[in-house]
Amino acid sequence: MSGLVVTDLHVRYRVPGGVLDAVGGVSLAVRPGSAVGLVGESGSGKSSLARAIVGLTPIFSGSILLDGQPVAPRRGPGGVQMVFQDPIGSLNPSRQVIDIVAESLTIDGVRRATRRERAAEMLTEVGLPPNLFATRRPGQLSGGQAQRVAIARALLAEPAVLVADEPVSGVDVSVQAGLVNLLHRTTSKSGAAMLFVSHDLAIVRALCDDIVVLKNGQVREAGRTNAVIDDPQDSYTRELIEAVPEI
Amino acid sequence: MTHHNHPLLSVRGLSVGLSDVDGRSAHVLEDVDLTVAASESVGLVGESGSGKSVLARTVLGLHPRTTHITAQGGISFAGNELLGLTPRAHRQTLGTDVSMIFQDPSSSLNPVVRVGAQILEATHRRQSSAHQRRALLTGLLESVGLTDVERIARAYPSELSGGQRQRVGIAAALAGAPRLLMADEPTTALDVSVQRTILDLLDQLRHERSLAMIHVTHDLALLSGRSDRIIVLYAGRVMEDGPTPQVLTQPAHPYTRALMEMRPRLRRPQPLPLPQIRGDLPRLDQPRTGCPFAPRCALADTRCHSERPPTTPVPESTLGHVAACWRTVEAAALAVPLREPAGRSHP
Repeated sequence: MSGLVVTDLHVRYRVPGGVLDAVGGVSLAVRPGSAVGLVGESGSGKSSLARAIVGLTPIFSGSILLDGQPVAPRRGPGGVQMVFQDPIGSLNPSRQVIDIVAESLTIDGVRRATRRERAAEMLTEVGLPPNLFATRRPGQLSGGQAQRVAIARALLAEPAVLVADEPVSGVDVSVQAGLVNLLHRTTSKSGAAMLFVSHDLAIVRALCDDIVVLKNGQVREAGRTNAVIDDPQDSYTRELIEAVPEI
Repeated sequence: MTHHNHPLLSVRGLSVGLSDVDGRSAHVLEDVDLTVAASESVGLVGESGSGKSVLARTVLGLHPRTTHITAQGGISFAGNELLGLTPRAHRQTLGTDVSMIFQDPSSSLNPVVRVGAQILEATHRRQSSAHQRRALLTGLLESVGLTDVERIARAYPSELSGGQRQRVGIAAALAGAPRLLMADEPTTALDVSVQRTILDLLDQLRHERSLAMIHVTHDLALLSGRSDRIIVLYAGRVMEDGPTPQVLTQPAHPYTRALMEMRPRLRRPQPLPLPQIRGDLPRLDQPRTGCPFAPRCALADTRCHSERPPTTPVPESTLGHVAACWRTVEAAALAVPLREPAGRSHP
């Protein structure tokens, strides 16, 4: 199967007095051009799973395949990229925005001038005009602008899979709407598979075709997002949905 | 809803400018009016830069020493004027009548002091006997829904879950028997299921103890069915103020409406792209004319950019629903109908 396929994945941490199965046998698939929302509360294992997919956390057992091949070492075009919750913390504070974005192309051996040219195009694409933003440093950006830089950096590598870990949490609602629209537009255009990790069910409903509900490292429910949210089959999914206040 | 005649807290025409050591200054609040009656709950809504936290800190007299503040207007609490007092006199006047619940209890609690001692510190009753103090502590911890109070009183903050820590934060806020609780994003750092239990607890305590509350939040939906009134701030000014049901079902200011439209709904399919407002917050360090939202408002005309809109009653709404917008009538007539209210998710 093409796209990202995770099979029976276990991520295990040593903790005082034993081991913790942060991810205890999770399987999921993300097709090219589609988005899967991975939802759960603190301690559900959603971030461990996301980090395992990009190779930031070692896996204990199971497999993570991209188009049938092991995923972790592949960072260039057709590989995996990640966007984090804290965008300012994930950007090198001493570098200019244009160089932060362009660094995605370094491993290709592309010439510097070409890299910068393509980075400038990508900045335009994410709504940061290069004439205003190229020479800024991360400290001179708002949270929403920094997240746009992080998204531009990830997308410039032309990933087959984009893993986004709570990328729109902690920003204002006006900024949030813009980032959701940006992720939707750019991944639809590039055909990247997106795994969108979030505790925010309303945003997952807007953005993701499918949803996976995690609790204590296990999948409680998975399916088409609209079907799961309109008619949850699992008691925990139902609790999560009922807890969301709405006007 | 009870009719509230005598305000407990009254903020009148408050303007606040802040400047730092480098002399950079910003107008963070402009001509803000706000009243909170005894046992009334007010939701104070705004995004980053709206001035909602500065307003809360100005009422409490809690500005950092490194910022120089200039404030005009008036703030009175239970009939006592606070503005113009030294920070010390300000806090003495308030005493324990106003207390604060913070967003992140792990940063407002001292990590190396047992939580029981921290709660008692807030009571200002160190003279009482050990027995009295223990009874008071047990009562406070039980009142915020904690069981196993002996263990919790002896625990350090890091030994508790996020929800337990916020309950401890609430117990500490209640320790001085306040009349007004100021809650600054009290559930933002919590999981959604814990968020609901904390909001339910605050509602319950408020009714049991006839507490007034100001709930500072960026999330309008949290206030639905919970607060009596909603005040919407933008760039340091009050855009809209009114009873919660009216503000949520007939928002009169285009900014309030945008806040509601931009946030996706959970209980119905949401087509993309989400509605957005163009542009960014206005810079607070530059003088402004007109309505601060005008550069981002789809309805703005020339007057909106040049003349500041006065706060006026919203036509065809209830008494006490006001908005600062030249185009309120047009906004109501032209606006895309709001999605129908989805109703509370739980009884």
